[in-house]
Amino acid sequence: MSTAPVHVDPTLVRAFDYHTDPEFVADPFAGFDAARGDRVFFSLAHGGYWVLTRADDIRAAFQHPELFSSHDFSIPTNVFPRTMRPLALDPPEHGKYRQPLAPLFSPPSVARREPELREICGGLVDAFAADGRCELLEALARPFPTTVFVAMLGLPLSEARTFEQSNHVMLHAYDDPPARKAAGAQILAYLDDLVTRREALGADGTDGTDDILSVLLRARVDGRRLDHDELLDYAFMLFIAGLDTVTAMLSFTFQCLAERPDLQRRLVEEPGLVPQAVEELLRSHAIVNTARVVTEDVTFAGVEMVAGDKVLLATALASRDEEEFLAATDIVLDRDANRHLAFGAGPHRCIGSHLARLEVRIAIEELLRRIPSFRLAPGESIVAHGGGVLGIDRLPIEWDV
Amino acid sequence: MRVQVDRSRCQGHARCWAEAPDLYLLDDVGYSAVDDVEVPPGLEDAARRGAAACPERAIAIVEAAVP
Repeated sequence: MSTAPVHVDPTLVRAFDYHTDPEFVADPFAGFDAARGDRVFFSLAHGGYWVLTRADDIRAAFQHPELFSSHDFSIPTNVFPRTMRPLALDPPEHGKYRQPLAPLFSPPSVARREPELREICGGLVDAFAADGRCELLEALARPFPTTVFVAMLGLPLSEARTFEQSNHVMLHAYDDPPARKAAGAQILAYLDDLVTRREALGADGTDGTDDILSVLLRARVDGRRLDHDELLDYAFMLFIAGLDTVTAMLSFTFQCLAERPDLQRRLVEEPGLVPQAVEELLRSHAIVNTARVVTEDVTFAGVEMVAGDKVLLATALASRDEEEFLAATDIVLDRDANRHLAFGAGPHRCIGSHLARLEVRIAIEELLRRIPSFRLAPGESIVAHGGGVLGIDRLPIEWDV
Repeated sequence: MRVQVDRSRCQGHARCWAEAPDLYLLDDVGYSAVDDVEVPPGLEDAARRGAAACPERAIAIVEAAVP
């Protein structure tokens, strides 16, 4: 888009690109902070979109799906090989497809997995703790959530490696589109085969098992069982939504801690503070930039929006808003009233949020238990990426052994 | 002191429960099971922290009237 649509006040147009602008991508949270001058502005990038910058407005947009539809929730419009249910649905259809997943991700279900998650994470950290250095993405931030996903699917943990490599290529090999497509097809073929084998067991063959597909095989939507395509859609959606996001959260968490020995020391001395610290690290490093489509002409955040307009809902803009949080750009490990929007709000609140925060907590605890002090490796560079999920591609750290 | 949870706004963040699990009870999939309850003595601070932690702003604190 080279000029703004006629209904957009030209004085509200800003040069803003959270996908590829190198300055933004190098420090995306500072980039969002710098964009917060106006309550709302319009970017011409990727077809044009509004950017809400205040927590109150972003929360309200999340909470009003009748005005802000999820049928296209990415900037630019993403083409997934499967239907992204329930992400791309609006109420009431959304609730029908969210409800079968809910028991898998409730706080008690997630808490029951803690011993298994701790063992997975501890094993990964044990493998590199004596080395004095590692590249954290390869050593922990990618294999940990991938292995957890494999465990939740009820597969042997040795399968994690296959998923990890395909997932990374599918999401990040921007310079090699055929490889991305092939990696996506490989994941789908694997999940398709898995779903077929589980369906052969039938719902009655899943009694007492709580892996993802067994729970979904027992579930009902509109009084009927889910069909093969729906089961595959769920598996693929969880794969897309649950692995790369946790990898990114772990990466920013450990980058932040590596740069702040004072924070590491405090968490080592006060391990009981870790759950609160996780919330603060999520707040200060909210990675998800989702979008909505305006359903009818409306005045919102003081501007005229028209049906079809895209609106960026950047969780970092909401969670680092000075009007919502005192010292919003500081990291306050024991912050009270931390009602951040790192997991969004409204009916689409991240269903994996309780699992994600548990994974971040366990990773901090298990790493600091073995490596109580670490730093960025000197002379190495951190490589980051922007877009719908902010992330880091390489994070070399070192420590004394 | 009472807490009032607008359950139509609850989206299952469970941050109130994380602050005061004995007060902000959850249903079996993690959404609030509480509408309007009296806060037991000693839980007032936890009740306030739980309300303030709600990302949806769905929880109101009603302080007891001063006699």
